[in-house]
Amino acid sequence: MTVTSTHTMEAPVKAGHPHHHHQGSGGGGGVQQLGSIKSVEGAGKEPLEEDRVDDEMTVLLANTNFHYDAASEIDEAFVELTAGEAEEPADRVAVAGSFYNEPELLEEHPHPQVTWLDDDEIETLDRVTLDMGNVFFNRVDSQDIIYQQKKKNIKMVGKYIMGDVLGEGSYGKVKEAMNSEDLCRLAVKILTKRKLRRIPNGEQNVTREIHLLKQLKHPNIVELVDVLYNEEKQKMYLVMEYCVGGLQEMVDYQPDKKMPLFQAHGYFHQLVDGLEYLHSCRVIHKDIKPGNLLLSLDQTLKISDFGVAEQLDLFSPDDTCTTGQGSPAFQPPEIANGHETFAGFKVDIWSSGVTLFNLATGQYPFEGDNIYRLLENIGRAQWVAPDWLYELDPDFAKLILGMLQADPSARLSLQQIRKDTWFIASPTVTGPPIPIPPLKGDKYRCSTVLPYLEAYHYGSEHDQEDVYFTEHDVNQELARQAAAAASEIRAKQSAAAHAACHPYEHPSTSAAAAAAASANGNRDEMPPKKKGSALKRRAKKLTSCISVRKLSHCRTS
Amino acid sequence: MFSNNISDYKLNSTIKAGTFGTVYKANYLNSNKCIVIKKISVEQQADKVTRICEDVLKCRQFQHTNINSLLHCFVDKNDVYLVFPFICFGNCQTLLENVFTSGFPEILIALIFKDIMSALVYIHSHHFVHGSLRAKSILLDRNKAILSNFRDSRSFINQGKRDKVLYGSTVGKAENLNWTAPEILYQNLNGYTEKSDLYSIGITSYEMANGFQPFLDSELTFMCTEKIRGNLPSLSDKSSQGLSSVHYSRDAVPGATNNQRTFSDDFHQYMEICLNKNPTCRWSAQKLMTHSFFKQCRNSSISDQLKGLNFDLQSCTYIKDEPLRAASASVKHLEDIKWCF
Repeated sequence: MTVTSTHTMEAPVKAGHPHHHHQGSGGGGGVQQLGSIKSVEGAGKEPLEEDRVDDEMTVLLANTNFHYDAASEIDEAFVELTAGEAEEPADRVAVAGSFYNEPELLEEHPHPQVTWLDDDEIETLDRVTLDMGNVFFNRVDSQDIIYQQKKKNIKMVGKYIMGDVLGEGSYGKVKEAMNSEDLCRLAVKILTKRKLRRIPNGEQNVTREIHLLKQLKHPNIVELVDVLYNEEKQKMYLVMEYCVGGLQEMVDYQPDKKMPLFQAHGYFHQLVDGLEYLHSCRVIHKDIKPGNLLLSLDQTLKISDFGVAEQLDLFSPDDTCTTGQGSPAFQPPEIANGHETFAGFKVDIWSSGVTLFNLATGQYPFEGDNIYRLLENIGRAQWVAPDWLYELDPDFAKLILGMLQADPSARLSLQQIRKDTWFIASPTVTGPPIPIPPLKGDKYRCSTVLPYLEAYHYGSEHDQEDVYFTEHDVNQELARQAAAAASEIRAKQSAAAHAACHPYEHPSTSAAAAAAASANGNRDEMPPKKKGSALKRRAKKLTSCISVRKLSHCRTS
Repeated sequence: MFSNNISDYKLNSTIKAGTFGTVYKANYLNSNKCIVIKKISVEQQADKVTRICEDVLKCRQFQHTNINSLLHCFVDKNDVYLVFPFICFGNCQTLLENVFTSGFPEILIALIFKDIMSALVYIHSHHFVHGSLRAKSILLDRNKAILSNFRDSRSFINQGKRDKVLYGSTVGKAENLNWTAPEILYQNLNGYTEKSDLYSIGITSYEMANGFQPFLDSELTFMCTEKIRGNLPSLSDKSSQGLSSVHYSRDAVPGATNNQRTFSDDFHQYMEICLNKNPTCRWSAQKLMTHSFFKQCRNSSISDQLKGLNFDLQSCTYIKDEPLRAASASVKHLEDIKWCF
């Protein structure tokens, strides 16, 4: 199978895409978005590319005509690939990238050689390929891309033991961690100075976020536990309380991308509690969306990501703001229309309205082919609640309409929301609430630090040999899994035919479908020039359904 | 029964002066009853008041002979006073440190845990999890064992409904972690139930039998992985001689005595049931009450055993502590044993 692709593939900015990864301006990006891995569409964006570099594995390139000059300068770093031998195996992967072609080096290295690339080198490679405009294709045998399973070496930052990566944003990674002094699970947001510089107002936003989080203390606001700096590595670590999942990934996991009304009601209550506290502290979040609403183990909602939040001056007469940097689909008309000043608190009300609507219906009040159309639609006219919304629940429709008033002064305030009929009422429980989806097959979402601890404490007991596998193996594994998933779908469908009256049993079907699709379709879109990262990710997430999930918010209308 | 005026109480001696408050041994002048008074100043922190209220409300919910009862509470000026009954021998950890340095005799352990188990059955039936069971939370009176320290207890009742499991995103106080069940340490979506108390009972049994807490000298993270792997601490007696209890034993333990004694098979089996790493396989407190380990309690009582030991305690030469020697001689003069509420 020959797969061809290019990493600079232009991805249209889809309307209504709530993923934080796409907002280049949002300094903070989403915090601890578990499992919500960047979408393929994001491939066109620079900072995202680098973030994919993951430290789970080391990539090994083994090919007679494959050479990586590690000693060269960044600008000169290249991977030299020559393809076109007559007896190419059928299983080929085209590698896109702006690599130099230097045949003369071939003569210098006539023997097959293996070059190890560590994370930094892969990153360097990425930078080279990113910075260069021209793109051309090279072919590498999938058998010749070799990965090595990285050993679980324990890593400490201060008193915190680091675990696996939970999510990534434009600023850096979020990793799980554990406090070695009380064994508490935590999340650590790692910021590198180099990445921050690439983001407009990046450093400024982070300073503000830390300043804000230090003041805030409320059960519905994510807590900043500690801040650590590493001058040498130019890194900053924000240690935060651990959140087990987010609302975005929960609805994403559902086939209809929504949750029962009663469940959304419960989260909305907590959101209002949190917002009320924030506003009482003169803080405007400006980026309320399901992706920024996380959950603790006991289902307490935590508002996170204060990257674009603003705190009003103690002496400011009202809540007038001038900048809005949130996610487009959740922006109110006054920002969409580019007003110079607007009432800050009402921005959060609007975003909460869109969030609630999205959680309960799986849809967005405003959509558009691209960001401009979307903003145009938001700014054009007053939203009208569709008839089906009134049929779903008239009180709910009324509340949404009240929160989505185009005129900020007509929009409900938090106090008015508290008195709303639907808000006060306790909606009937219509079935089981949707769960937090399993992470890498673990439905309990166990601490990812524990394997590191085991390796640390019992490492000598089973000092296993290095595990190597090739891209070819990965592809075969994917195919095998796709087949398994497909058969599972068939089984589920036949089961569903028998018990069509149970609407709550679908999730696993969708996961299987997603897994199948990810194995079949999405692989083509993976930019193979990301040898070190995209492929690695694929290798790592063999069983996940994430690859398709991330496309879910892009609607064409 | 008790007055709200602090002048009606005579504070005799300080038992413990902690950060949270001061504990006094006192006399209620109207009836000359010996009591314990905990004085907490609420001047500094506002959230302290809510915590005290929660503690008081929790204590008030339990009415059981083996549960430390709150006799009275009142506010005088800027201090809150909590009145507890005076329990003569204090907590088991202090006894282990000063009197039974190589552990309690098995029969006494069985008797103590029979009482604690009935207290546990009671609080579990009230949908509570104790959460911080350890020798320190077990008080020993002349004729019974009393469960105390409900500060970390949690209820399954949440907004009028009973939750199936509890979740802890923070595992609790670092000093109690050695007693914590693995399912709590996991901090995952599986949560934990009242069975976690039984695991702590297992660790406490170990502590009471061996005279020191398990995992005393090991790193916290090692303790965590050992529990998750199900590597159990074992009772040190004849049978464990030469076995791999190296990890847990303290250097200071007088090895000779440990190797001489034997714990019954029932005790070993009872420990294993408690320390099952799978909470669903672990017995409930109710079922554990029927375990044959408690058979030995039939013809004995705590007061009998303590009387029998009194002689021994007096003759023990290693009691350096004067008040404790007095304690062993006559419970009435016991003054300086540390308390934990």
